[in-house]
Amino acid sequence: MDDKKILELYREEGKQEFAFNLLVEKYSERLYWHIRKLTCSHEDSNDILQTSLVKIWENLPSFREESKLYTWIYRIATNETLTFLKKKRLGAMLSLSNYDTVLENKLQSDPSFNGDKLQMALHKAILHLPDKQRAVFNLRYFQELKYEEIAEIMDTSVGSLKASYHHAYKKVKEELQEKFCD
Amino acid sequence: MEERNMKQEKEMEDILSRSSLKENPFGVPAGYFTSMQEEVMEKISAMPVAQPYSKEETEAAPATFMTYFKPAFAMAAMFGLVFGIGWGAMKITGTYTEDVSGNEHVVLGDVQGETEEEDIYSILDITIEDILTAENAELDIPANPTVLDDETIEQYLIDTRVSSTAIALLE
Repeated sequence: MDDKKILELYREEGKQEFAFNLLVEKYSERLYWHIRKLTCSHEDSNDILQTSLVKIWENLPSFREESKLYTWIYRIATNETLTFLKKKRLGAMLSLSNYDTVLENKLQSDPSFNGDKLQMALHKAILHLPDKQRAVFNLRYFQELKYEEIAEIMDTSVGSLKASYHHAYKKVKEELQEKFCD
Repeated sequence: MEERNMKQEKEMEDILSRSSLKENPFGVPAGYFTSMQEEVMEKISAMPVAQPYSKEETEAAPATFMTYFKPAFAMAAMFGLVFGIGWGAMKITGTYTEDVSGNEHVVLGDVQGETEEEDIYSILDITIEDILTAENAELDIPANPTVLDDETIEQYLIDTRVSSTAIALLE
């Protein structure tokens, strides 16, 4: 069912929960993977996803269709994840450790990771990007969203977003080149 | 060297565009999505249902007199409030006074705890002249010094061996 129909259903008397269930079914998996690639942890991703979905439910009555429903949903989940990472980084800084290393360790010790050497290297290289750039890279590279859609999600201009993605892509490529092309 | 770099770069771009690299290498516990969705739906069932927004509600209400002048009234009220708080504070702290003739003035000296030099002398019952006379007596300076003429000054400079160039310059 497309987003418009889900919203119409949501606005019908007594059908809010049913419509929201459809929304959760449609988007929760995509949102989960988006969050998981940023946090590198199933537990953290689960918490952030559930908080985001509750926020979506709370704010859905005031959603005025000024943007597409799915970019609005992605924006809530992305903001929630970036706030989580910011807090974690601050905590790590106060305990004089580096959160990048924590993320890298999580990735390396993840028992559910079943990719090859190249995939591991790619995900490690992505971890070396700043959080916002990582979110942009993941949305473009893995989810193949359009720049306009990512700009709506990240609340930024298409121009700066393109520059950010190309910068991130170049950094990732150079890191992989160093590892595999020598 | 440069050619080799460009070749490597091209090679890496080809690798990065492989769809296999874009595949998801992570996994989740079995049945996770179903149980997570149920958990979320349980959570929101316990929450109050907010009335969804309807398009009719957003139609702009007709503009009234208050629509245009409300911001101006709010600003005037804010200025009044700030002025009132300031005036009240000055009244309470005694920095704002009204003299017998009805003229209003603000006393800042007392607030800042400043004491004039003359106030100290009046407490000590002495005058500035008394202090100057005492200082002059100490330095052996006559109370009414006589005015020196040019010749006396010149003679003094010769006695104290000041160079003739300096004297010429003074002249």
